[in-house]
Amino acid sequence: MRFAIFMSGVRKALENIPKGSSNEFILTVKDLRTRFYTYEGELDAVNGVDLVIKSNESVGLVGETGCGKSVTALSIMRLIQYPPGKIISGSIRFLGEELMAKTEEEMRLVRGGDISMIFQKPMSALNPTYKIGTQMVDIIKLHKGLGRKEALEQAIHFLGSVRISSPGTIVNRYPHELSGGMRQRIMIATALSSNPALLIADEPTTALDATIQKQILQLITELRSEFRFSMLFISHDLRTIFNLCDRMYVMYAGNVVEFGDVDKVISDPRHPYFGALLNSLPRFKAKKSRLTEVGGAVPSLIEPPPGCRFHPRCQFSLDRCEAERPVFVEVGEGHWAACFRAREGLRIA
Amino acid sequence: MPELLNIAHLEKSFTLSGPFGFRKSRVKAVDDVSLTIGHGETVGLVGESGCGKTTVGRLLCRLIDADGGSILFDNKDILGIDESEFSAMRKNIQMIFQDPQASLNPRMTVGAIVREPFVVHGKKDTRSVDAEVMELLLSVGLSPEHYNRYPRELSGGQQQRVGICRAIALRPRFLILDEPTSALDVCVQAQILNTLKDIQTEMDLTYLFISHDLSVINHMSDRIAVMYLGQIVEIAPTQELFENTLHPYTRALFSAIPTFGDEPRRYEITLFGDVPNPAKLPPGCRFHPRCSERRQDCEINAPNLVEVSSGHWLRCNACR
Repeated sequence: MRFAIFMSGVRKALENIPKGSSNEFILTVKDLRTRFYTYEGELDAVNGVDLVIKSNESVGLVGETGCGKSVTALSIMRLIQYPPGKIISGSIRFLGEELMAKTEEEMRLVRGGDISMIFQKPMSALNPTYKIGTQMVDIIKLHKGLGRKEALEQAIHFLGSVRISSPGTIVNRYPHELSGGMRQRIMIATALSSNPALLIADEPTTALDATIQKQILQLITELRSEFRFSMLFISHDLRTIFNLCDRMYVMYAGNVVEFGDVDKVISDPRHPYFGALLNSLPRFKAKKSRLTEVGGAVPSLIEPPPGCRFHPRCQFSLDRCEAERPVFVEVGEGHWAACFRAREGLRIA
Repeated sequence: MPELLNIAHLEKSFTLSGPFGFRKSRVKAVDDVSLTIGHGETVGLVGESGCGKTTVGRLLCRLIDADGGSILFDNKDILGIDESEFSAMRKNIQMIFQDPQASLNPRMTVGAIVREPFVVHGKKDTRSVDAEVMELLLSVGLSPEHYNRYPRELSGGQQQRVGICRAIALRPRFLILDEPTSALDVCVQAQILNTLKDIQTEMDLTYLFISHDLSVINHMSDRIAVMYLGQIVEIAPTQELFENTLHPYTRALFSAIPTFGDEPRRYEITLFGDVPNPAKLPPGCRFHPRCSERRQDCEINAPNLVEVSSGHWLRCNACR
């Protein structure tokens, strides 16, 4: 029953987004639930997540360590290994097709084909024993059915489009010979080589230095206007999300708690968790001598708190928060928060 | 503010060897670093990975030996004295590390870890030490029940609190904080930064705060030193550095940090290329191959660190 109310809220959210050719959803995730079976017990790392991405849109997914943002991305790619993990329910519709119904063979063509993914550590995503060119050629051959020579030409072409200055020599290098920024460029070139409709980027700049991070983010922005792909950008860095994304989803303990346009969510957070998270960031403007702390710690997902999973740490919690899971309410155009008090405009002291 | 630490012309290089020990090359990790730190002050040291900021921290507590220069702690040269003499002074200078899990011995309980400094420095009276350990645990926001736990049973934030506890156990005067919150989430980071500020006031501590995160450095520091390839390129009081940024590298670093809409953004510079290989440094100014303000003489003349206005030091030929 509760769940039905929750779903109707989401459905309403989906209907309210204006329709049109440019607003077509290329990805619609509904009630995604991914469970892990561990020695300590079962836990739902993703606990009923709904998420949509429109074509040509850049969507941010933020949250702290262990909130389920990476598991959400891996679930979309159906890359959850069993055991220990399993997608137990939900629907993932991508370009009009249901990914949950696909066989493993069919998924292999989607991965690195219409959906590409780049990871936090480019070194561990590249094979250290093969040359850059060999690794890229393999992928291009699989997805485009080209011969070896044409595939190598394509690889060089895509290395050029990620602004690598001498792509012809880079294809003969091994990953360890290159810097972190270069490796991430190669990952992006490989991801783009199949002309994907969706790029999933899982903290692609976290391991890089600030100036290199800026180069990569600028490159991604330029490539998005050139190749017109949609993006799901996962990060814990709110400032990066603010600069790179159109809309954002905030996750806490396996749930999405707030989503909407980046500007609105960041300037007017309505879920107490996200408000508190924003408040605990050191600011450049209006410097405070002490930071505002969020009391307590992230709960164990094996025995999550009943009702709203944030209620034990929330300074605005009501008795009701302990008993039932809050449904999404619309607090502004396209801006939704899963909190009973979201409309009250509460401010953290 | 009386001076607590005076670092002058500090040098350290490492030898790298190629395959089978041949093709040796030298990397100057720290080159001519001079910096003074006042009593009770927090100086931030910022720079990208490989710029030598951690090496500076390790040199200050003599975890590694310097090749040249001097470090005066309370007007006493700590580089000139031998190890046995220094070990008595080491309790004044302590360090907190980046990875809390790696810096705690997994086979020791929290109590044993925090008791270790007392044992090393010859306090044998177990009962009074135990009482002191309990008090220390409370002062950093842990509880007595953590005494018999092992590090793996604690969260990242709690592990870092144990690291802080161990560092302040012997009532040091100077703490080197080497990226103490880089491995932590934002909420936990706020808790740790607040704790660090609290114990600084309570125990009258002086901090060298090493970080690559400008928002954290800005929050914590009174003055900031910016490092690039082993050298300090700019030093200024925090507000002055943010409002009157002079060095082209500092400007690029500031423009590289993402900001929210309401936060000021003065420069829009994207640096091209990567940091050069420290074993093959460019001649002249080390920053010139990536610099937007470079002049012809930058390739030949290496600039010195010069005071351009009160308390604002700069190493640049072009921007004075």
